[in-house]
Amino acid sequence: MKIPKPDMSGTAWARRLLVAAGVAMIAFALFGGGAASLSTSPYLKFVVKVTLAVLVLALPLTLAAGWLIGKVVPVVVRPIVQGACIATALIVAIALPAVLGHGRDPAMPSALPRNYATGLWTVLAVVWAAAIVLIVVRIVRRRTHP
Amino acid sequence: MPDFGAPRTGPLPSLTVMKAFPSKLRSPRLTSQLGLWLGAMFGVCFLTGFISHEIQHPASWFWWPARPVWLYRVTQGVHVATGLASIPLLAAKLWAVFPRLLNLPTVKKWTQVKDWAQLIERVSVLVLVAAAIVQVVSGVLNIARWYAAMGFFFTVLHYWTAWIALGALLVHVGVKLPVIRRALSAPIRPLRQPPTGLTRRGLLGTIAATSAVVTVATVGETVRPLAGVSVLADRDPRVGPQGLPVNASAQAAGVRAAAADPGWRLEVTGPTGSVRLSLDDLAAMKQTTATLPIACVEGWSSSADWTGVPLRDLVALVGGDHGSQVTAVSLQQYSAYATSIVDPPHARDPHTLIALRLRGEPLHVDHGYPCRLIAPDRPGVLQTKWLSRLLVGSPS
Repeated sequence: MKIPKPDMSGTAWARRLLVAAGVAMIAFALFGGGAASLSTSPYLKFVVKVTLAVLVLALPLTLAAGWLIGKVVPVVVRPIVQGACIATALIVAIALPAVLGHGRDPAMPSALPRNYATGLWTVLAVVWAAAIVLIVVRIVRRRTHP
Repeated sequence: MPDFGAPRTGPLPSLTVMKAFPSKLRSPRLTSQLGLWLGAMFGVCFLTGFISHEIQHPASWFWWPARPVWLYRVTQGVHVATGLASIPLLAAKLWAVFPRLLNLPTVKKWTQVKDWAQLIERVSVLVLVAAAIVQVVSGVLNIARWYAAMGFFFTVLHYWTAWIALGALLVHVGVKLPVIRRALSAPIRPLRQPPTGLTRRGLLGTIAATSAVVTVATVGETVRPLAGVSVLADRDPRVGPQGLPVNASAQAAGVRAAAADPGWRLEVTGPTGSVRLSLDDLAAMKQTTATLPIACVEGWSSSADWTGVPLRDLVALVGGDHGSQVTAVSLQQYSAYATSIVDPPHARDPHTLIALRLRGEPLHVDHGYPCRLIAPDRPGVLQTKWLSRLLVGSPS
């Protein structure tokens, strides 16, 4: 099937404007007052650390987990298990700083006031309960409408 | 991964790299759809973050109203909620373009860059990826108060990195616009084989559902009815001294002794001179009660009934008028938030108070005893606690 080309009239100017605006914003950060802060050693170390942690550690682990799921999980439930695993990994990553609790301050009990480990398990239980319901529905449907 | 039959347009990474990533779920259409939503969310974060920055460090052209009282609460709540909800989208986007990232030009290829546009695009991708990751990671660490993991002053770097992230995003969209338009307008081909895993729609649904779960699990720190179910929220708007959270304790601020000193006086200085007012003097003045939120830059907020002297009455006491600006000075020392400027729209608002009571009781020392500033539609860091002086003057 031949893919129709969209109308690109006006695109060239839009592209130039976007690139110019983007370069101007970066230049503003680098030369308009941010250079001193952005070039500090702790910040640059942080940039390198978190970027490498995501690209060299987290993403390859995700790919490995995806490969493993593809090998061991039956096809009939695979999409739901994949979805639940994606949600689990992301929720754990987002909740981790609160669960570890390094930001707690005994003098200020209103900061990080909850039991975040329990909270995380609760949210994950909801995610997997929903996944199990979807799996049951999928299996029942397959049996009634093969 | 499933065999997904969406059309591929635009240049592909080299075959060697692609062989290592057999998932046919990746496609320009998926990448473009994720990018569209992620771009919109980053745009919202940038705009609301910019507003918060300008309120705290206003440029000469910036103006922020005192009403509605909840406006900053909404903009900053949206800022943090959108930032958290964007994390699943960013992860999916990085997964979708991962082979291309690995296919970034080698040193030899850098020398073969054909034109400036290509060079800018390649650099902008690297900058965009790093800046986006830094923004969401530092944001999550900041709301969890894990400052040591960053090692730098969050607000300054978050602000400048936001300019770089959005700038790199605009450059990227500008360079990729034809590919994006083709990918989004091309018809979807029917699947050649039934999928064995997530489809494109399945993945997008998963990401949307995860963002929704993250939002419900955290947004109760500012949306009070959801406080009970937001089990991952870094604050609970119902928890704190007098049922209200605080972001800096009197002990941490080093003001406990000064705040409890019976000789404490509030010094108010203006065009006609100075007055020194004791707590009893302030309590003897006309009192006003207003329901106002404390809205923190970290995204949590909570409303309460505050009672105290309208700031404009104190301004009038020392010869100020409706155009006066007030500098509020705290007992706290050596802090970036020890003073705040109250611009005329807020200084003359009848609900801007020098509060003595919270929910009918004297202020808890962590809430600013003996008295504090509480004004409508301002960030919590500008609601100066443990007041010692008010300087009334003209806007600079």
